[in-house]
Amino acid sequence: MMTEPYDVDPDDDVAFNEEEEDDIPEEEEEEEEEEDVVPKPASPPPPPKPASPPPPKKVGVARRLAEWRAAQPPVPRNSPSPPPPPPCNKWRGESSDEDEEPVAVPHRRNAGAAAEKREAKSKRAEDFRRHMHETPPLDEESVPMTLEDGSRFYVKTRPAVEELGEEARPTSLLATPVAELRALDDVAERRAPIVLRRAAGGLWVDKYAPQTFQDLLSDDRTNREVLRALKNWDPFVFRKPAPKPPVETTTTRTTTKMASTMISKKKAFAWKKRRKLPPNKTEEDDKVFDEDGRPAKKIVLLAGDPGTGKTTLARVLARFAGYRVIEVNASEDRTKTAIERAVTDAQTNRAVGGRDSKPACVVLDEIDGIAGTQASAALVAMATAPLKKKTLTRPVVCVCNDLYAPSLRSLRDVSAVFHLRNPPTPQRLVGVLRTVAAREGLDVSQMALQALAEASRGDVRACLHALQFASSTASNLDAEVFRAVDSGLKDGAADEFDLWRAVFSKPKPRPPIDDGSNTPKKRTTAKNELSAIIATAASLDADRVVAGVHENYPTVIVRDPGALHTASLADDLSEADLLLRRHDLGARCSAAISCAAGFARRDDFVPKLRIPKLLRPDASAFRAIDDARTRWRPRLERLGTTACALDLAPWLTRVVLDLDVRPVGLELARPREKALLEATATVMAANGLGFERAVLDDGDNNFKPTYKLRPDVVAATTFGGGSGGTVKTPHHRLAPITCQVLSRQVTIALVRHRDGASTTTTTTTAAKKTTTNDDNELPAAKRKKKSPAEIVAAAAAAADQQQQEEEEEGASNNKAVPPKRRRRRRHFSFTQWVVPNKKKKNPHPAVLLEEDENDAVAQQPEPASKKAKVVERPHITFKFNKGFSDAVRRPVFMEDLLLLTS
Amino acid sequence: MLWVDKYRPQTLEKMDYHKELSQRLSDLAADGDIPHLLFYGPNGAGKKTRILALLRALYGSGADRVKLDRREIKTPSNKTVEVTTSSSNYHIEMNPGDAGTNDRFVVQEVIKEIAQGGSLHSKTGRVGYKVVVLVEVDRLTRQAQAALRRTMEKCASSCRLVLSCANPSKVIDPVRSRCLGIRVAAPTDAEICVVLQSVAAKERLVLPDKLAARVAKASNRNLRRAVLALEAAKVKQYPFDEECPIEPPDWEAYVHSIAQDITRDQSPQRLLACREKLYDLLSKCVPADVILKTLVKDLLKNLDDELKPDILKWAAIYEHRIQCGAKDIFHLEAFIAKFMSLYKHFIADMFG
Repeated sequence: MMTEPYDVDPDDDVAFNEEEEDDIPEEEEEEEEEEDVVPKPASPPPPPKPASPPPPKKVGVARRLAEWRAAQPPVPRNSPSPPPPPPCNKWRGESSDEDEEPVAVPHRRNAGAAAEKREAKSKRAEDFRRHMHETPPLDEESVPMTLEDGSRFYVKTRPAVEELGEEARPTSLLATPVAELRALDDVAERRAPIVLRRAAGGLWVDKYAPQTFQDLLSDDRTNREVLRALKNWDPFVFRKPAPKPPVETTTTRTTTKMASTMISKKKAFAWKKRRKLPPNKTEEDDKVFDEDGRPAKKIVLLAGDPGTGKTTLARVLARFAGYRVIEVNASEDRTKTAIERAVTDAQTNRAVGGRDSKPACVVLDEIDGIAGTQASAALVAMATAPLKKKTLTRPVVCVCNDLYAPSLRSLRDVSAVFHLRNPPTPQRLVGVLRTVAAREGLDVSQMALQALAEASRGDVRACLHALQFASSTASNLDAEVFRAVDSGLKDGAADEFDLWRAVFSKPKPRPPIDDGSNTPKKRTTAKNELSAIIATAASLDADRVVAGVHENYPTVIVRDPGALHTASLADDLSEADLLLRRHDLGARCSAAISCAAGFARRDDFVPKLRIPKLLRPDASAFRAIDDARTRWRPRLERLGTTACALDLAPWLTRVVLDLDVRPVGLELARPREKALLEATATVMAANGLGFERAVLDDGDNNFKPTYKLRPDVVAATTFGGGSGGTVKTPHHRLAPITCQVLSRQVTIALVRHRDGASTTTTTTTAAKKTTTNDDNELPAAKRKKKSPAEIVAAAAAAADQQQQEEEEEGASNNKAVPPKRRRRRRHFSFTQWVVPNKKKKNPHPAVLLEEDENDAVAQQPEPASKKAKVVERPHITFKFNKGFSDAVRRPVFMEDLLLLTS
Repeated sequence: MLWVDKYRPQTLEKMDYHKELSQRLSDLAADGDIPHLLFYGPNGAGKKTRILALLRALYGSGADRVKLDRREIKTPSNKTVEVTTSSSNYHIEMNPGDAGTNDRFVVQEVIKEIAQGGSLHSKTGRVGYKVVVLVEVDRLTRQAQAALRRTMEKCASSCRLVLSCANPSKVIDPVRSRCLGIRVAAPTDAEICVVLQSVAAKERLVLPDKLAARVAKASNRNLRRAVLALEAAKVKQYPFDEECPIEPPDWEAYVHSIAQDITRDQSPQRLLACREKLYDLLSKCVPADVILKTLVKDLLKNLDDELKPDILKWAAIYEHRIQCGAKDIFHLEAFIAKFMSLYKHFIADMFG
């Protein structure tokens, strides 16, 4: 590259190169490290060799041409360029050296040559001018070139050998081994300066596009990994050993010299081993390669934000790995067939001879832009097909923005995915921008470039465009660059967070910009800043804007001795809220007010801003209250949520949980405690409360089993985050044993409630005991006849618990039995022999209600009278409709059977 | 069963206070035809008790036979809203505020259903309409209230609406003008004491008068709260003595802690701490205006008289804004900040 076979002013060229190498000292350092990681210089296929000697044929022709020209007398020619001034030896020879001529012909020749040499230097400028043509020379070979100042010339070719002098390369190089030459070549290529030397017109983005591995701005590690993925094709494409698998230590960039040498030794050893047994693949090879020697992941998928250099990366790396790059991008036809054709063509066709005889690597750009999954499905099919079929024999690189586009789902699985997450750091970007600016001869301050790099968020393309645009228009570049930064490099760059930051913080001071004009410096006035902020706020969601200002203002106001600032800001926000509900204009005004309010009290020091919380009712607390509310069916009233939270819930928890009892079981409880527990159980049952097991974590990783109210009213009425709050709630603590007792009592109470008025028929002795206790405790009104409303409430509450009870009663196999039948069966028992009443009891509240009134008398008779009934009507049919075999299992005792037969 | 429910009077005659109102209501019921009614009054005053008693007076004990339903109502946007209703043969009661923003459809749907059910032939044949009881109408959205307004007129022949709310100014004027407003004032402390004593008598408890008075005072003229507090006190310690502690409800204690905080220290940091507490309260269904009122009441207790008018003025302003605005926390915070500022200046003026 550097040493072109064409005649450009050599002095200039050298100076240029030196200058550029000075510019990039750090690149050189990096390079040394990369020696470890980047595949060996020898391993890549020979890259284009710009430094190689020009083709001998050309040199021959050129030399002969030069000799011929030197020998020829000047002949006026119809060439666009004036012929070189004729060598004057003839004239001299004729005039002064005439008599010596016959004697010293060789001498004369030597003298002529010396004369030529003497004049060479003065001729060089002339030569230069002679070889630079404004239009292509018709008779000679020429190449177009553009100078730094943009002027375009056509340069005639001339043998490079002449420039190289006596120790011309062909001879000296012949002595050196090829491997060394290659290494030299590689190094030469690596030493290439960071920014392009190929001067071309047009966009700077293209002009300064990276050409080599080192130029890439993307994350080095990603670059290497992508390269490795491409190199994995080497065994198949180039019949070369595959690159070494990554060594652990190489990933850390700060390797000491010692360590790196050790590693390289180790690697060398690994190499040897590999070389020895190429056919016997190691185990890890099997994972990376398939049986054909192709990599298992045949597609490289690059993803990343726009402007992070994905396409460039693909292009450069493919070239670096020794491929010819064939790009298929969005501007082309990209149907399924088109892509298939492009890929297969690239793989099969091979340009004959010449530079492009390299294998092809297809780069599919913007693959997520292809609608539908067909195209990617075709790629996947090709990637997974065996070697004989239509498949991939060369690497394919796909580039996309959105890695998780639905159409890429299948493609992701079969390809090696690289996500270019980290955009180049501003520092790195600034380095590049500075180089470009220097090359373009721009006078831009470091600060402007810094601002540009930061504003672009790592988008090199945007930076270069902005810079180029600024350079084309502005007399004062800094001002122009700052304007570009202010106007926003990328769309949508402004988000709420930036806005809040702008509201609360003063901008970093910038150097005063003197653009020569008399216009006042606008950008520094607060008024303009505020109007910019408000303009941004208008484009954002007003609700969020206001919420963010509100969230952050107390943290931002640090010094406020009189609390005046805080108060007035809070007041402004409160006013802003009134407008927020209005329509568009109101909302925007609201956002503006809040921004202005915050802006007025902004400070130099800005703490970390927070994202506003969304104030939603604490879901769990809300649900608990709501749940409790819907369960509470005390009498007929159903309270609203608010009334529940304010009036009922705090007291209910106390009534239930603030019991004055010792933590003992029911057996050990005193009569007073028993009464209290049972009364509480009744309350709980009536209100649909229950206990459930929970685990209590007391902070020291001691998990204790406890009981929790269900629904969790306690949580809904405890403030201050439980234990950490300032307000301690002394109540709400019951010993687990008490909870257990209560829980049991609640179940019993529910059973009793469900049985409604017929409280005399109890199943368990425990329940019987409670009944008697209850009767003693409760007033007479409740003992005999319950009000219908109570029954409704009880039945409804009990309905929730039925399932649980089923299990306790051991009748779990009949869950599907409709309630009517179940109820009948409950009354059926071998010991009692009650004929099921014709009027079946229905748990449905309304029906139950009506019947309860009617049944009130029927249910009251003593068990004795019921037994009498049994004797009267001995024929009992009992049919079960449900179940697998219509069978039923019930505990039957011998005495029951005896009773039946007697 | 809680005492509040157990000893709730069932008929208009048994009401312990507002006898005059009870008389008017029973006259209304005796007449057989009632207009649309709007009961309003603070929580725990006895609105609902009176509504139920009125229904009983209208329809007899049949109105007590209530079943609960969960019904799903489809909105035009194909969303299903679930509301719980309790209904008897004669009336249906619901809390349309539960449906949130879709309350409009719920209101329309339910009322339409009842109106289409045709006139009622009750056993007595006396009352030919059903009653729709809507509670917490002040929580209804404006759209729902507007929907109510037309519906009220259209179905007046077959059903009557009985509305109940705490804050009638949140009910739109057209609805209010279509209803006979019935104010149920909160009971006085003395009335509460009477009720408490009667409950205690029914429970066969000995309730010292002083304790009853203290409970009544602590209940803030809210009968429901008074009775519940009495029951809680009983559970805690039965043989009552006069010094039985009456604890305020948890949320009130928490608001009280905020009041203490802001009188102790006035700084943006304190404001942030208060914000957390306010969030906690709001998220647990304590309404903002209640917080503000409680807070002001707490603050005024220990405030210099000179400062009181100002604080009250600002409290009124922010309370108004709470009603108008959308974000309660903004206004609560603004009030706290304002208080801090005023208080700090006052202290500074006083001590130099």
